[in-house]
Amino acid sequence: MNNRIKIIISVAVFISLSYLSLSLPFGCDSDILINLRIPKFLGIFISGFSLATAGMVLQLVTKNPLADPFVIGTSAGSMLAIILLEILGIYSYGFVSFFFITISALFFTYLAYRISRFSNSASINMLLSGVAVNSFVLSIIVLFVIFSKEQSLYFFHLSFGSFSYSNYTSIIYSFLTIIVSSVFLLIMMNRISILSFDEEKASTLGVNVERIKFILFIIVSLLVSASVSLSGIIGFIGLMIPHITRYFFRGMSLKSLFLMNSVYGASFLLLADVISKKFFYPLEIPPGVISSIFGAIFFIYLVMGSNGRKRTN
Amino acid sequence: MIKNILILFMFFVFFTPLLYCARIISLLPSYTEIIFSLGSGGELVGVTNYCNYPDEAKKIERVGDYLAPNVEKIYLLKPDIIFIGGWKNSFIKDINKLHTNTVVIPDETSIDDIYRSIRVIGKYLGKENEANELIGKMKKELAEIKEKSYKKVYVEVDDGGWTSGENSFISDVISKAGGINVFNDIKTSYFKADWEEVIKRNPDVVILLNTSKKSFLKRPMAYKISAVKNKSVYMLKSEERDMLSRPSPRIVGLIKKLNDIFNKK
Repeated sequence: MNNRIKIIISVAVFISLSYLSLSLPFGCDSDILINLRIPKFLGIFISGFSLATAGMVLQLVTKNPLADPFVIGTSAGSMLAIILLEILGIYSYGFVSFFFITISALFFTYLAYRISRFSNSASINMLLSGVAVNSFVLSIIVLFVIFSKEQSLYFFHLSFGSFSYSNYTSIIYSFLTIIVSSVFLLIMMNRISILSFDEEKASTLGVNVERIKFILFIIVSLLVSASVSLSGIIGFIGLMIPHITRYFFRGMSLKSLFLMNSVYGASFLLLADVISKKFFYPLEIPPGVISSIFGAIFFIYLVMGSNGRKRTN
Repeated sequence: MIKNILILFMFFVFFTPLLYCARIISLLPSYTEIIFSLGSGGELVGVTNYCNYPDEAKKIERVGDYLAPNVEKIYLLKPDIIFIGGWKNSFIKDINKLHTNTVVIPDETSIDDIYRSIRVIGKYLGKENEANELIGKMKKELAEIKEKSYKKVYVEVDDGGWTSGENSFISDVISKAGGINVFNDIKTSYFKADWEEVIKRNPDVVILLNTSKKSFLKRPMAYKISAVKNKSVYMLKSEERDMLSRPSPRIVGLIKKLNDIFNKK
């Protein structure tokens, strides 16, 4: 099939899912549409966009098909910052909070990367050190939750993710963040494509590999913070979606691949929302639950697939 | 002299059986509270980490939390009776190895089930009369609550819209207090409600257990809910939270308080 037709179909699916997400359950007044459903839709879009893009960048940088902000500990890093700010009572949607959340996410991502550098085969171990960092951060979060006596805090809300309480102020900050990081990504695009092939070749071409990696980690942290501060942790989107897009659009330029990737990320989260509303309303199934069900199965499929390939070699 | 010795002897003969008391371990805070209100608190030798009511319970040896009690410590305390809940008691096979008297009490899902638990505990402590008295007192106090407001009540158990449906203890407490749980038609006891549906169902009173009032009022379109308009959003204090989450005699006090809240004009 022609790539152009695939793009048209994907966009059509995206638009119809958007329509369903906005109109389900049927029958609502304009007040609810404007104040609840549109912010929720925008939140889903921003989250899907940023998580899928972050996953793609991580997979290219670490050259590991299983890399994902959720697995590596970036999401948990942002969540830790949110919980800490919440305990101190100064959490609000604003640049200061956002700065801390991003710094925390960056710190733990880079920590995972530095730890993996101690070993020879870095691309495999980034995932392992990431898993270690991730569980370390998550247990610190649980400790905080246990010892903050008064409230269960945002913990429940953040650990599975929910878009129900999105409002325009929170969306504006996340929206600005993804715009800024997308612009940086576009500027960096050529270097990413060099980096994704061969690091040694990249350094002989005069590319400062370490610096570019660091900048890319900053972008990933920004994207993930935009998503986590909106909705909490939603796992496996960054793992699953890049594989699907790469499978559908083989041989496409990296720029268009990134674009389609973000469309797919948003579509997937919209699908999770439509499933929740269509089959479970008035109960809400958190999007993180649905994405993890699909994502974990996909993860197993990838692991088994890679083993199979090794055996044939 | 002989007379004095005789009196002393008689004293021991009569009072030694009274001085003997059972060594009880309670593995749920609600059982601790029931045992204390039956007047057998002094016989408790072990309670869970969460038993904080009445104050005397805090001084008793702690044997861990409910899901993972410290069996070794329980053994060292040499209990005669251990009260265990029917909920998730997979540790019971370890406790059964201690060859003590274990009493498993089924879960409480309504106020009437508390009466059953009180009766069971009273039977094993030899305090049937006290148990019946306590039940009678609770029933009488609940019967005094006559004014039913039939207000729609939304209880948020955990932040993010986690609430309780029809067959839950909380739902029964609300109906006894004269209100109606807005999610009465959902047959699940604990679930996450869609925020849009909460707004559509428009509760008259909102009771928050773990959500802060500030963050609740900040949610989009919270101003549409009539509870917010009438300033009837309440966050329970930690003591009241304990009352609501433990099926113990203290629930009557909370029901009265909720009834006052529901009847506020």
